[in-house]
Amino acid sequence: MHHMMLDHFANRSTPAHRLDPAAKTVAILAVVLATVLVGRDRFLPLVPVAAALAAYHAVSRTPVRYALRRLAVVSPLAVAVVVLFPFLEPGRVVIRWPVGGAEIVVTEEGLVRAGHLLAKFVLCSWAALLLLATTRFQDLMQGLARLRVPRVLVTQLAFLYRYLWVVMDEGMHMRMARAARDGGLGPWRLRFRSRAGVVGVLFLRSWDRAERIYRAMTARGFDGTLHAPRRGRMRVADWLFVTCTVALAAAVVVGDHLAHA
Amino acid sequence: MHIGPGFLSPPVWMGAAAVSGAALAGSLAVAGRRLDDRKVPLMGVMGAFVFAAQMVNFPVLPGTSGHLGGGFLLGILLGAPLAMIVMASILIVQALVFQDGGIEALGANILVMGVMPAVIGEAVRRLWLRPLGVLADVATFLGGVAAVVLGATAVILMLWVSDSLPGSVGLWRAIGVMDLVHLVIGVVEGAASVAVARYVLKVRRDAVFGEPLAQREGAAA
Repeated sequence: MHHMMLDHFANRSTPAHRLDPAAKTVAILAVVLATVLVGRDRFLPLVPVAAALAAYHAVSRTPVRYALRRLAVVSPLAVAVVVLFPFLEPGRVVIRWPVGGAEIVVTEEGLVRAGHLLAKFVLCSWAALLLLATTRFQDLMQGLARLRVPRVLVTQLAFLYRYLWVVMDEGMHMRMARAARDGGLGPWRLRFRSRAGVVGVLFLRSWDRAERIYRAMTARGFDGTLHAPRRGRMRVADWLFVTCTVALAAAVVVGDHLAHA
Repeated sequence: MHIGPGFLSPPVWMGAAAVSGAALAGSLAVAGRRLDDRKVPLMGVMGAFVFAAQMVNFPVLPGTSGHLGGGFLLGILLGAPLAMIVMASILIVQALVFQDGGIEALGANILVMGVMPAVIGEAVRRLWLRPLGVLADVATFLGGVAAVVLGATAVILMLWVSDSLPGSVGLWRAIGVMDLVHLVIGVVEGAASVAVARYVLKVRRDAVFGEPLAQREGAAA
């Protein structure tokens, strides 16, 4: 089966793509931290963050439609909270809407809170998707390793990403085979058990796959550590990029807190 | 159930990150010290397994279905340290690649969906190691329910402390509604975990619990 590669646009070559992955990771983390540290219900400090992300987006030539599509798939919990706020936050009523005997009210405070949460949500998701749109996953792993993320964790992430589609494919085949057999019909107990069987068999197949991978790795001289070619050195452009971004993030946080001290 | 970016206040996400970070550091230390090379590919493939297992929908009521969380089942089958590392890697990939859950909320999400269910799973795992018969099934079911309901409660508590719940809802009403919904999800998690764990342990108990066959037969005799 065919999967859309998630770092599909990361193989392009623009100034944003050529930046060092460790520098990009630090810069994106700084932007995300600055965004979430902006005080409650304030919008102005988020404007420079949005401008910086827009500039990076433009340089990286990431298709806008792709970004919008990714942003549309958001966490249901976040949507629920944001949608509920205008109706459930007490405050100055801006809209009254009588329904039967009761009344639905929308408050100004609720709209502001919802808008603020939504803005932060969009900015953080945008930052994360730009990182993956301009950095190949294996380069990102190397960046994380250079940032002293524990090696077991980096290896784990690399392996997870490598076998994600392989095991997903197997799971999809099994799911389809099961659906072909029972057509989603039959007594509840049986349907439940057949699905548990799919998960159980998938677990054991994954277990055996890991065993085969281990043997193949041992045959190639695996001794418990992964040796990745040490690539990449921070160039002047990388230092400039990371310094400017972190400075911008710091300015946003400090400015926001000074203005409301 | 992922907590999105911007919902938690700095003290809450920093606190949650500290707790998860400590649990993860402990797990990494255990993994680095005690585990053989065999576990390196195993953990990676198990992360992929959880992604695939989450695609399998279990029927709940007509028209609704739920899927396994992963942390609890891995806690039973792999033990808490490995389960925590695997779940952390899954949540990191979900936050970075799928924008599912905030990057700053990673610690909180790892706590709720990784650390807590893995610890409960580990407790159940120890019960499976003894000849308890149907009691182990009951414990697995209750553990699955507890993992889901406690997780939902923890999410609401963190949102409440962060002042991210709408003012007129109130803590207790939010916990009541969320726990009621998650009780249903928890029953699915519990029942599915019983069925999967029973199957896996029936077929490959020796591999999963790492006990040689002879030793088990000796213990049974």
